Amino acid sequence: MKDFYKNLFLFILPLFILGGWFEYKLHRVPNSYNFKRDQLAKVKNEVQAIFLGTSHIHFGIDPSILKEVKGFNLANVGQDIIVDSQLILKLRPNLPSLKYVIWGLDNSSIGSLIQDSVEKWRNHAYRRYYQIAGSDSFISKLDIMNWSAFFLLGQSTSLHFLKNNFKINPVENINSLGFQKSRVKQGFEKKAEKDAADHELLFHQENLVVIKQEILLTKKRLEGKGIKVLFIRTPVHKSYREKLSKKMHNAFDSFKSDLDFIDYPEDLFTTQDFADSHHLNNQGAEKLTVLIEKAISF
Amino acid sequence: MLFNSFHFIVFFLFGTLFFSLLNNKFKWPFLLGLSLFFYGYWQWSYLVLIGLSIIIDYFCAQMIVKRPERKKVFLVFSILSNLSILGVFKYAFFVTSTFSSLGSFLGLSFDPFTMKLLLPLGISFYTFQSMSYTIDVYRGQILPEKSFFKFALFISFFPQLVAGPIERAKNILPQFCSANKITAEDLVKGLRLILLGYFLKVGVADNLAKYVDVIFSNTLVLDTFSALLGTYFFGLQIYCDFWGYSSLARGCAKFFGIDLMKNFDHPYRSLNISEFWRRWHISLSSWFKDYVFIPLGGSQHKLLRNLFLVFALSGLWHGASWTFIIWGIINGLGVIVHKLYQAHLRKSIQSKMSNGLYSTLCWFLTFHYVMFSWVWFRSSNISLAITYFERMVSLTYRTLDAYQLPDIRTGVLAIILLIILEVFMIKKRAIGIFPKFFRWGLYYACLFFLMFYGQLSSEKQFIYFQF
Repeated sequence: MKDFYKNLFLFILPLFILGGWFEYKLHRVPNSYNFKRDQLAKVKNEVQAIFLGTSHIHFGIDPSILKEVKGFNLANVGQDIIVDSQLILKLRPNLPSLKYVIWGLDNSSIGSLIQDSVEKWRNHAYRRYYQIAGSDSFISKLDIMNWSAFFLLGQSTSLHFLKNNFKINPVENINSLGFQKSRVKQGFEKKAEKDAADHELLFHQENLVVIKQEILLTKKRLEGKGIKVLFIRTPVHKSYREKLSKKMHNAFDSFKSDLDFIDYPEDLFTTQDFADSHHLNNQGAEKLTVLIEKAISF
Repeated sequence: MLFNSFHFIVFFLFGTLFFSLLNNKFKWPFLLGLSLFFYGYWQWSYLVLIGLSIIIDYFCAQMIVKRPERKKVFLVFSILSNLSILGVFKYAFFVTSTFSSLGSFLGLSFDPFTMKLLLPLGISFYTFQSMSYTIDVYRGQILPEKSFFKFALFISFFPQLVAGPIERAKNILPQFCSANKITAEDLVKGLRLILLGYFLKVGVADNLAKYVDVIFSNTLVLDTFSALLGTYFFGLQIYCDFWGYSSLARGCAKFFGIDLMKNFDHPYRSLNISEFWRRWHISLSSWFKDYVFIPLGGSQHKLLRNLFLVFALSGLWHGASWTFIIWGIINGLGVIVHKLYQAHLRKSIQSKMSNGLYSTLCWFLTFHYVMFSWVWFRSSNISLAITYFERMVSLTYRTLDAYQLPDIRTGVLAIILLIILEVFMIKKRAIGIFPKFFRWGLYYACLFFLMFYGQLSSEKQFIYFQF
């Protein structure tokens, strides 16, 4: 038995060393969550406007263009409204100059939750980097993604970093105010139908009530602190809009009816403003940011 | 708790650690508690049903010995109880929905009582194991186990509870009763089997499942190539899935000093369909042989009828669906044709060609017969299975991109590794004969493959868990 334990130890030792080294290197790779958290910490005393929402805001609003106020884009890919809400309530006490929260809504986000989507792994990032979106259950604490960067990032991404000797900077396209430049996908109109169908799958009518309640509650709490909460619809390409079902359009119209909603003519945005069927490109982001600044007149 | 989940790894590590620290007297109660926790972790209500099965069979076996004049009554009671549990929870919905379909086919307004109950995991496995115990006691082949808890452990022993092997009391119970000194060799063998199991399940089967799931969900629009690809990939997926589970079960059991029977012996090397069934799910085949085929008359009386019945039942055992029954019948017909061929044609055909060519031809035919029969096993209903075959011979072509399949290279790599493993195991059966650096290199390579290419996050259920 002694030999067995000795051999087992010798066999496992290199695995532990390699695994530990790999985890350490992966932990040091910046990501959009810790990058935004750190950047926000640098400007926390000056920030007056926070932008929340999904990838549509993450790629669609560039606060560096704002002239009148100091803004920060805290949106992220797949970030649902519940997470938005938890994030802003958690961070608000550290943002003494905060006056505006601009919340991006779209046809899909008003009825979808991150835990129902393939993006649910992102909840672990919120737990790790913002200490929110967590569950207190013992089982959820056992989840390996809570503490392993390898499992959080996934095998192919981790392998990609390893192959490139960890010299990749995944946040190089995110500016210091949280806006990420997008890459234009050619011929995206052809994919619009699939994009719309994917979003329809994520949309669940029964989530509307929960999400609306969360929004109204958060709005009330923020307004109680003197912060104005405004909502915007993120523009989508007509190829995508036309493929969305009537159910989705109706749900959105009904959802926004009693919110302070900043609207603008959809035809202001042309094909040249989009990276894909439902995300703006850099030019589109600039246009939207200017438009919002005008509409809000900070 | 799935074997391929992080929760299981934690459960197993702590379970084995505590087990090794315990005094012999407390080991089996602890193992029983561990097994019940493992099963209840899925759904606590499952424990009620397995508990019922345990109580009935423990009681019946005791009574068979105490009241020999009424032993038949207790045996019948035990069998009927087990079959009723299985019938209600596994087959009730199938039977009522079949009657309903038949009624509407005949134009009758027939709305039968239907219920869809939760199918407890592994119910087919443990009810068969429990029945075999009572039958063996009835036949006088074993004495009933005195300790209720040891018997409960025999039925619920977690490594084999949800997907077999369907163990026999004479093999397992004495192992619970012995002092059971776990040797270093046991642990080494256990670790090797566990690594092999994970490699096969997470590395190969789950990688192939990515393609199989997409292909079978697109049955209506498949082209010839994709239909063939799906057939072979599923054949290899289920092979690795079941082999992987069997290895994991045996490997985990070794850590508690228990030797489980071999349930899988490279069935795709078989040269005929009868041999395939002696190598695939060995414990189920031998169960049907001992408790159905031989009592029906075996090979002495109405052999072909007996074979047909046994295979149809075996299909039904796998699942409450006509596709499983058809799959069983196809395999049964294969065995019948093989028996007839052996009796009448084999000698004359074999004499016309070399042994090598003959064996290759036999292997080729058996392999493909099994592969194409799996389509019935994998399809959700008869109509989809027929459509799948129609699409296979449609001679149409669509690119794989049309199905949005994941990158095919991982699947191909998984198959190449499987072939290497099979060849390796033909040539050298025991890895222990290789030098240490080679063995360790192989283990590290295996772990590396699992870490970067295995389907770690999918935690896909073993196919046989559904039975």
